Amino acid sequence: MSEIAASATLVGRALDGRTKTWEIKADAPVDLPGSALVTQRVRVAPDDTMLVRRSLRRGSADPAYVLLDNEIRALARLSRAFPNEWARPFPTLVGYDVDSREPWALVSDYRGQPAREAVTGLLGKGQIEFATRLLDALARLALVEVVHNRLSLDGMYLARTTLSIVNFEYATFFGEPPQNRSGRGARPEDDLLDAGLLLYEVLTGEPAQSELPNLAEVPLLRSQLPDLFAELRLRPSAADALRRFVVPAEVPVLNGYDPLAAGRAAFDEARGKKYPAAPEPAPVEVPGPVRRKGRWSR
Amino acid sequence: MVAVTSAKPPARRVKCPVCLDEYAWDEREVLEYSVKDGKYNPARRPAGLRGAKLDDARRRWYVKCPNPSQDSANHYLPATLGDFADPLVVALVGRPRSGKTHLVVAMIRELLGGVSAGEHGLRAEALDYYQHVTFKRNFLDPFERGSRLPGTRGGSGTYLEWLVVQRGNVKRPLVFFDVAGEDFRDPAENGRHTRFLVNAGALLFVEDAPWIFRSLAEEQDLRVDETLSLPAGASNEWVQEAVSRLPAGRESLPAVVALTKSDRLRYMTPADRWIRERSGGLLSADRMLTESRDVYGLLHSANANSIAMRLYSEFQRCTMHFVSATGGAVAEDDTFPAGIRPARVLVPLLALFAMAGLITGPEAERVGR
Repeated sequence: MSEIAASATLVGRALDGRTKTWEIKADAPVDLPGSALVTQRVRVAPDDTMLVRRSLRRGSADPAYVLLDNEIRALARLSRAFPNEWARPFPTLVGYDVDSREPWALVSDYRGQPAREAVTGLLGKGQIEFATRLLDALARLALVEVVHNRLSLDGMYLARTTLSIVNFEYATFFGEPPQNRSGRGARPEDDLLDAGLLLYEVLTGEPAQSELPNLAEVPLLRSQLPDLFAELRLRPSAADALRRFVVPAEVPVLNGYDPLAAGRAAFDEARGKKYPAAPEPAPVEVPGPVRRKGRWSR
Repeated sequence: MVAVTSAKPPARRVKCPVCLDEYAWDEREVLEYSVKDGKYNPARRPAGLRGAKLDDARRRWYVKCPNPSQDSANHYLPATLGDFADPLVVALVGRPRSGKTHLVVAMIRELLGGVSAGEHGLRAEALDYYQHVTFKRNFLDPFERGSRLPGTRGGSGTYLEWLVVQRGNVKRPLVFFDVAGEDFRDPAENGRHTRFLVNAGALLFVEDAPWIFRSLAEEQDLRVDETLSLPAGASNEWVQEAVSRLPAGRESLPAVVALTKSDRLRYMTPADRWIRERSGGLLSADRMLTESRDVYGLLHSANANSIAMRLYSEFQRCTMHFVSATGGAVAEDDTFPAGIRPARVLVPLLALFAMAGLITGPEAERVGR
């Protein structure tokens, strides 16, 4: 599907999985550099709430479908985990349809302006606030085991100092193979390096020329976040970096409720009755943040 | 026309998977199916038909089952039946419209040439030639085209597909029975159409996500399936009835629970991870255990009385899996507009193969425990 010309009725599913209908009117297209998807603002009846519609370009094949699927999947986890925070650093997933010939997602409006333009006006405290918001966002992703894989100013919006990561086309879960990378499963530390490179660009005005840039002229990074560029096993988690960067830091947390906990315990009990001597079930094999062992990364 | 004697001498005792009678396999009078007449006629054997050509011809020959107990309508078995051990009978059990047919078609499609099956070293070919032709025409081809398959018609009582599956040096015939969910509770037939359950070697229980999570049901689901209007905690008596038909010692049968239509759960944890998982050709008992625990946990969170959880306790070796035969919901025009994207349909079969000895080794021994 390309952009909607005037108005349309969208039938899909809301975040809770229930089928829902949206009456939408077309608004302006959004230029999202580096995105393979069509991005368009739409107004939703009855109150003309502005949302952003993400869809495939006409004639797109499976790879583009996967990109949309990646985004919906990541935003579904994030939207459920952080449902009520106005300043959450990503759009909320409002609805989706991936069963039709023309799949789409509706997300909350991108706030502010494209980050690549907006960061040029950041100075001093603004830059620190930007870095704080970026680390906060990555800490939230890590809490729900999402790896972004392609952090870039092109996929972000900025409203004053409030950062939103809006493009999740390459997002995966911990341990999954990232798109267009081979070999290693996705790890949150990959995003930390990308965050370091992105901050280097914001602070110097120039993109880093290597994955180990010279921080001599970037005191903020050199003094407080040099390990973002360290080998994989030495990189901090986003939460640790946030704690170190901001004092006192407000590190995001989940509410701690696991709706599957009772069911998993019931499974363990049922299995224990069948196999009294059975070992505990294998933990979910999700590679968490790298501990101090392993090998050099990229 | 001369009735021919095949090259194979009378062999061993076999059990017919249709009527379940046991008898000495006798291949002396072989038949050919005439598409034109719609019936079986004595086979022709040109003089000199030997070797590979004979083998090829035998793949299309049939033997009429003598049905010594005389309790079944005429039925015909592939002449090559006697070349193999008795088949592993895979019985699909689930309520009506739970997605059994789409699932088994997607599974057979995968076995007959899917990437995942190849990664696991599995090869399959049809043993019953004309049944396969019919199966392809009625199921595989429409499935490939993205059309909704008709629900299984009640009252057939015969198998859907008969394959020979090979992995390494292990070669085993595999018979899939897919009967209408209604047949499990049809008193009129006195259980004849579901007696394959007595001969089941592996059980594939099908539970569907919209049945468990009613909010995920599509309007189309509700139109064609009045049971979705029942309370979410309603019992699944179709499965209970089927389990009661299993023979003594049933608890030792390999069993899996496939949570079909899990595409509806694709953006819900933990299905959002599992539905995309690729095994890469590795059989992992630990992964299957972890997935089973997640399926069980999810079912428990939605309905602590789900029969699937009781099945896990009832069968000594049992795994549970998120699967989607089509990858998406059907549209009002009975098509899958986004095409067919089966997800993880091979995994339940891998678990069954491991538990039934078709896949061997220490890892296979641990599956389902």
